[in-house]
Amino acid sequence: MQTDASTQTDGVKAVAARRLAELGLVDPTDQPSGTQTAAARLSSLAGKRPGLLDNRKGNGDRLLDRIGQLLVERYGTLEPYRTTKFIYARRAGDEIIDELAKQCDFVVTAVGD
Amino acid sequence: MSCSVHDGVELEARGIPSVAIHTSAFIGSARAHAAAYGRPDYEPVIVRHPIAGLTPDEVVARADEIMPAIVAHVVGEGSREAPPEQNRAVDKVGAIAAALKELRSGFTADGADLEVVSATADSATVRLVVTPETCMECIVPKSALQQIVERSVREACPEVRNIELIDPREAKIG
Repeated sequence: MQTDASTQTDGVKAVAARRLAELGLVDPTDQPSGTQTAAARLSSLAGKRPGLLDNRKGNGDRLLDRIGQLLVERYGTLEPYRTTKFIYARRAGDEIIDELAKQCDFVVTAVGD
Repeated sequence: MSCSVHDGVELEARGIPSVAIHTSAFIGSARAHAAAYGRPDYEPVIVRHPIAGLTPDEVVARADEIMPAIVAHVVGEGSREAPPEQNRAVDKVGAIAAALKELRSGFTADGADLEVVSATADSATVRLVVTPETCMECIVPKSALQQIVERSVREACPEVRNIELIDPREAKIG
């Protein structure tokens, strides 16, 4: 039988909202706020500066080490600009994002684990 | 854990192509965060779960597996960015991954995923990724999965005639 996935999801959300209201609970999730734009893709990685943003999750540094090595050796990028954020559960913050945007042509962040 | 996505979305908004790497176990959360931050189209690069706890050699292997996907996320279509012998393969891997995108959302809901391991002009290898969190009963048998994957790939890339499906469930059964 063909089901309409979005209608089904809407139905589930409506039931969940009703149950929350009955229990006197507040839905802690936020709704999407506005839209963000996508960056233009690069035509080539050669000669570009990668940024590697480590969120200090276990082995994220090793994963980025290898990615940085392969970017240089196989794809001809410049040496990566490496930075770390200290609390993985929060956004990196303006200072780190500003510096990455200034220094780098593209960025790899790791790792959501 | 999905603030990597938030950082990626912020950098993209500043014009910097950015790749957020997420393990397969947390991909649903990553996509939800991307949508909440205004980029429902922002697709993380998926690496097999877990990363923490692996040996250094295992981490290197994981990085090697996802390099084509990282490159495909950063460069535009038709780019000549990869080494010459890998150009076509990288382009094709990206095209097949795009063809499987819709199908994958159904699998990630059950804690599984599909990843494109390799591709040539007329063939591709796709792997079913399962984790300890995967609802194994929710995943269709290999014979049906093979047909579903073939249909999705051929709709987008009709020139891909041979599709090998690596199914880790076979190793456990056998």
